[in-house]
Amino acid sequence: MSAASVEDIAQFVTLRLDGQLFGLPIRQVRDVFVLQGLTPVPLGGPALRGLANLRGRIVTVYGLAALLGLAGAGEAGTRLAIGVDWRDEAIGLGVDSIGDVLELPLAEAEPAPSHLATSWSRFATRLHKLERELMIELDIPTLLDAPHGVTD
Amino acid sequence: MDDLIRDFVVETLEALEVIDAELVRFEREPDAQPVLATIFRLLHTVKGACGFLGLPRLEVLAHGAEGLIERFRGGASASRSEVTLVLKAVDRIKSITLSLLETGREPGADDEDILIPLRAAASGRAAEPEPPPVGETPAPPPGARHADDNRDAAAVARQSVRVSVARLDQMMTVVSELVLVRNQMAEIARRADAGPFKAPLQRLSHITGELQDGVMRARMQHIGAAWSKLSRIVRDLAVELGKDIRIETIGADTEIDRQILEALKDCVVHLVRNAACHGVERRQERIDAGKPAQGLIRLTARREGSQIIMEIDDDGAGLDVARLRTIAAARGLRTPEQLAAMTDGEAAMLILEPGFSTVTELTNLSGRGMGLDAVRAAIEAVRGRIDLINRPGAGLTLILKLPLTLAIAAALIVEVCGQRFALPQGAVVELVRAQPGSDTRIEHLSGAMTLRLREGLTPLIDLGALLGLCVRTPPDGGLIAICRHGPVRFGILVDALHQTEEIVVKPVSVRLRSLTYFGGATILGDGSVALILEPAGLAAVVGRVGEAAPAAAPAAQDEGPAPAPLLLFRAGGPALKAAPLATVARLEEVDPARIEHFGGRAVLRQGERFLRLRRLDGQQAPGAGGGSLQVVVFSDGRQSIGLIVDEIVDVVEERLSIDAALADDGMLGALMIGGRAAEMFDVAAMFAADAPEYCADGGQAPVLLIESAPFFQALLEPALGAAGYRVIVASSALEALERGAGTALTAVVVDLDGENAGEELAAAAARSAGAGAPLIGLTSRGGAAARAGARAAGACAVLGKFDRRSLLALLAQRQPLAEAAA
Repeated sequence: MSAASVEDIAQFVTLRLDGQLFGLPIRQVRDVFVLQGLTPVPLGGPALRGLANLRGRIVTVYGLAALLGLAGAGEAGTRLAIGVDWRDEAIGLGVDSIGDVLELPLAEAEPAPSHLATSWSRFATRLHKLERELMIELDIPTLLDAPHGVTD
Repeated sequence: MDDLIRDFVVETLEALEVIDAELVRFEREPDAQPVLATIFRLLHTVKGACGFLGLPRLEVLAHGAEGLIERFRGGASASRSEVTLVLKAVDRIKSITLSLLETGREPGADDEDILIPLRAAASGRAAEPEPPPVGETPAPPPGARHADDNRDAAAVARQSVRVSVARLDQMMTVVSELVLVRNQMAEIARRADAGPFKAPLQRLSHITGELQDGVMRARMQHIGAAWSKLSRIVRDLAVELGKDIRIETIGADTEIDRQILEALKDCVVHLVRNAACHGVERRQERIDAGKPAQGLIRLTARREGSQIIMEIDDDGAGLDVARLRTIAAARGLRTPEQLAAMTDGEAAMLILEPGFSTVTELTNLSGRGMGLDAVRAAIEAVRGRIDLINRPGAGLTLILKLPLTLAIAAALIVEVCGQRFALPQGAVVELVRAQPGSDTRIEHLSGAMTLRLREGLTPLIDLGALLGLCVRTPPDGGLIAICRHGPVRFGILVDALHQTEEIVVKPVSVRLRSLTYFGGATILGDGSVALILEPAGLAAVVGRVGEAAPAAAPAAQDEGPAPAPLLLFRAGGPALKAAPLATVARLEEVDPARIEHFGGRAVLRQGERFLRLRRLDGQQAPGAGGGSLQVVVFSDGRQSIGLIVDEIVDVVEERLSIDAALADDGMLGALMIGGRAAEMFDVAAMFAADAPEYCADGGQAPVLLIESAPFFQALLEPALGAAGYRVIVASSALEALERGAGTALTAVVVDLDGENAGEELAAAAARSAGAGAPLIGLTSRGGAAARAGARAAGACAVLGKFDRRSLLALLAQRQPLAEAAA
């Protein structure tokens, strides 16, 4: 494989939230782990699922659907977490299930249309055209930089 | 040996090794400026440290070598012999440093043999074209000794190793994991028979504990490490400034996180330097001020909850607040209005702001270093805080509050609504169980819970309710951890108290920093995460209890009167009665047998004086019932009257909203307290009825009192009258302009809290100007805006409404002025 093709293809962790397929760039993902013994943080806001102990590290876990302001996020996101590093902190993005890891050519992706009126459009970087549907690529650091997800 | 010297030796030897290598490199690549820069910087550091530690021989040598390197940096080409000169100087520094390690002081000898050619070379005069031939150099002989030096240097360097904080952090994380695994194994062994694993498991457990302890300790240092060089600094400063200053330290062994200590070091030096330069006065000034000739700078450190409190205290002149205001105005840091609205305490804090320096002359000593604003920035960078207490004429105390991030802390594990929290042990004073009907019980006061403990009242926080964990009826008993944070004492009501654990404090995510109730998180022995409660955040909650909790109106004029503490009692009937606590001098229990009667009046002999006693209509006659009597002693500052009451109910804080329509003889009206109706007792009327001479005309120019609230009229008028002033009361701006127009006035006293405060203030200012009488503002809210407005209108003072003492003192002081004007 040539150097050029490595840059042209990216891997994504996919997941489905509220019927929509999302992709997280795999280079932003540290690991995926099963959530056990979450400690709730009182007054921490609706998106915060709690604190978890991941091999001696305290991980702050948010419900991804709730961070994105998706309908019916409720208590979702307490089963699995996608671990990401953000500003030297360990953050977990809670989800209920995870899809395949996809390798997609970047050349075919298109910038996210600016007129998307959805709550998560600010955090969408690109649209990837799959055979049957569109996958939205999310930018995790931007999402976490927003103090309260989409509610701010 | 001094820790400082040891550190210096280790660092210098390291630096010298680098210089050696770099010099050799420089010889090979004469154009390499970065190499020269490195050598120069290292020599400069050594020189600086020597000057600091008072090592003149080393300092001069380093200076000499630095001078020659400086010339190379300027572009002069270096001859081999010149590089050799520098190397010789470096060798000499090394040998002196090593003897420093042995004896703790510089060996006395001179280094002119090296310095003369060095200086000559540095000035460009190749005075001695070739280095002096070997053999002419006096002792120490270079050959044999040199080999020894190298061996010794290696030995010293091996005694300590530098480890990055990041690596210590990583070790800490790994050790925490190890502890968890150990705990899990121990749990398994408890359930199943561990058989042959039992003994090794026990050893593993023990060793893990030791390892954890060791790694934790590696991160902590005594705060004294930031203090050790101070005595020397203060001594030198004192000599230079011609002052006599002693330094005293308390709590030098307080342990603090290394990272914070590093941030603290320069700040402390700076603050102490400041105290010595600007705080402590010269000898003669001190003697003239009646202070001991020797000044004192005291450093204290202690742990309070999850904070380290460090204080730097001097007994010098304190801050000249008036001067600070002038400077702030001159520099444009604040508008004159803002400055006028500031309290003296707030004004003193100005010295911590950027762009503020009170130094008019730059001394050799205080000119360098950083400003106080930089100190504040450095302290805040480690999430600390700096406060100060100014005692004009008596000194200044700077208080540094530093967090304990990543420190080990003993914590009490508490449980509420099924969730466990870690409560820093340092904040816990005692643990009590409250039960209805016992000495230790919970009282509910207008929505706030209070613990009655040994006759004292402690505000109580229902942790479950505060954190919104579970909804339940306010309990009337339970387990309570009594905590203290600074001066605030409060209780935390929990469901269960568990064990005490040594916890590793980990910071919470920056996304959660706004949650002031939590100071961090930790992993408990069973592997679960627990939030650490922050006593400072909880203490702040207690500070708010007592303010009207439900939906306080945002606009100031809608707020109604400010909350005031009230004494609740029953006397002469079942109705609850209230009196402003400000009018109550004390509560007494009186044996009826001690009551005497003079001219139909009940009095109580108290030493040389008599306390007049009164009772309300419908109350049984004093002394009739047997048993002791409860007496509330009211005072107006000059005289006291004891009111015999049936029962003292409580002290509450309530917004005064009195319905005067319900006024009755001796009562100002009705008010609601915690959902119950109460009568407002008319203290002034009692004084007036008891002492007819009370409102006598003092024969002085009257005081104009502009006050729209009848309650405060009733409170203030007799208070002023009692002090001998005739009072003209005006309830509105119009009345203020009309009443007693044209007469001379002693003073104009105006309320700043009323609905039409603006108009009233304008009228007051007009009367004040017309009569040449001082204008005094009264406020119970203490709002900065009200103060600023009053000052702008020409008020000479703004006082608290219940602060009668200050008002009377001020009037007494103004008396001669007013008479002169009249």
